[in-house]
Amino acid sequence: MNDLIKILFRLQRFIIFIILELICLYLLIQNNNIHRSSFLSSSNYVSGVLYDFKTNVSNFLDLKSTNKLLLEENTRLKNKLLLFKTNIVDTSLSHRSFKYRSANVINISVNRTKNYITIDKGSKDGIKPEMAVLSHDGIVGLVINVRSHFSTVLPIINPTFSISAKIKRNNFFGSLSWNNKSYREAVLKEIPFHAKVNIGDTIVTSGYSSIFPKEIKIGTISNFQHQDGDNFLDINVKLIVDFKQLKTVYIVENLNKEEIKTLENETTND
Amino acid sequence: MISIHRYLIHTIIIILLQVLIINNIQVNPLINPYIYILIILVLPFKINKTSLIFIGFLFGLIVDIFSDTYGLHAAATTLLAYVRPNLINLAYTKDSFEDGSYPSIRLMGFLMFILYIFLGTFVHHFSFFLLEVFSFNSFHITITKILLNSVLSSICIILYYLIGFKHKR
Repeated sequence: MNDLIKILFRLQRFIIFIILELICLYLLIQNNNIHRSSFLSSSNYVSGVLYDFKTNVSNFLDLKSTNKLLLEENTRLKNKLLLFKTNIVDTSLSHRSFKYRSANVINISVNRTKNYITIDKGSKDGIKPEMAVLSHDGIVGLVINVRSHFSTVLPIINPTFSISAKIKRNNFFGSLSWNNKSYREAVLKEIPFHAKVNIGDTIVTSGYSSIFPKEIKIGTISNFQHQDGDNFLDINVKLIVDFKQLKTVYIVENLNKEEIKTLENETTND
Repeated sequence: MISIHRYLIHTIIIILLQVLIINNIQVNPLINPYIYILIILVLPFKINKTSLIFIGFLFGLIVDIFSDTYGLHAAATTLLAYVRPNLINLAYTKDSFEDGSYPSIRLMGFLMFILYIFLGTFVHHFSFFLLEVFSFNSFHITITKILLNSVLSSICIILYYLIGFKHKR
């Protein structure tokens, strides 16, 4: 027994090393789960405040270009408004199915194997997990972790993200995910090879989901190929959102989500 | 001899430098140097080997919190802290250490110091990038990342060392 204790004592450095490495691996493997424990994420308060400060500084320097973007969007919306001027009954609030909130991006990574975004809105602003995140161009990702003032977003450029997407011109739909290499590109799978596809075709969300609104732009086809014997095409998509330039995002809540979910559950239980 | 609060100030500066500036310089998806391991490499020779492992672990965990990587940096820094005594034996052959002396160009000589920094960086980057992809698929990309970033990080670390750790004469 004494010898055993002596041996253990001599090996204490090695044992502590192994224990700490196991803790690290445990954290790392848990991280593969989308709904991972959030106690160490950058939506926590201290790093949130620090990144908030960083964003304040860099946002100030970008004010000019942000202003320009907002002006452009404003003009576009005003033009659309003219079309609706003739409407007498305002049904936009009682019949809408999506609610938009805006948020600022305070931290983003684009060149990791697993990228995440941190935004400055949290549960106090009504953000919940599994809400869609859009920019003024198109799809950004999906809210996964929510704290009181900050939340983390799973962007398209993360290997665990995938979304149902379709080719706008002919409505063929498939599933879109990141190509794990460049932050500007994704791959669209499950498009049958007889579908007529052109370079430059727009890819939009299919709307077959209770999270993402229908017909939101994702990107354009940059190239495609068909391998012999394969029933499906390999399509490369150039993403419309430039994640390096991302400053503000919209968080979209589907107000009918509960109803859709209950209905689908009832049907599958029958 | 570096006093404990100088170590603390360097730690804060280096972590801020890493998470606020270096992690945001995105020239190429392959390149992301990690310079914060300098602090683990220049802790005094005589530090308790067991507490060194804990320091490495804590230090990695702090960087993890800022970069959303959950144990990735911590795993790599713990390994680095575990093998550091062996690296020192390799690069610094004298038997006795003065109290409070730390790995430096003055004590080890320029070449040995560079070798020591490079080996330490390589150990850290090797485990870090392998754990990051968590597979041996596309191993050539991973090994390019490891080598490229080891060289780059070593250069940055030595630059920071030359600027930040001037010893008093």
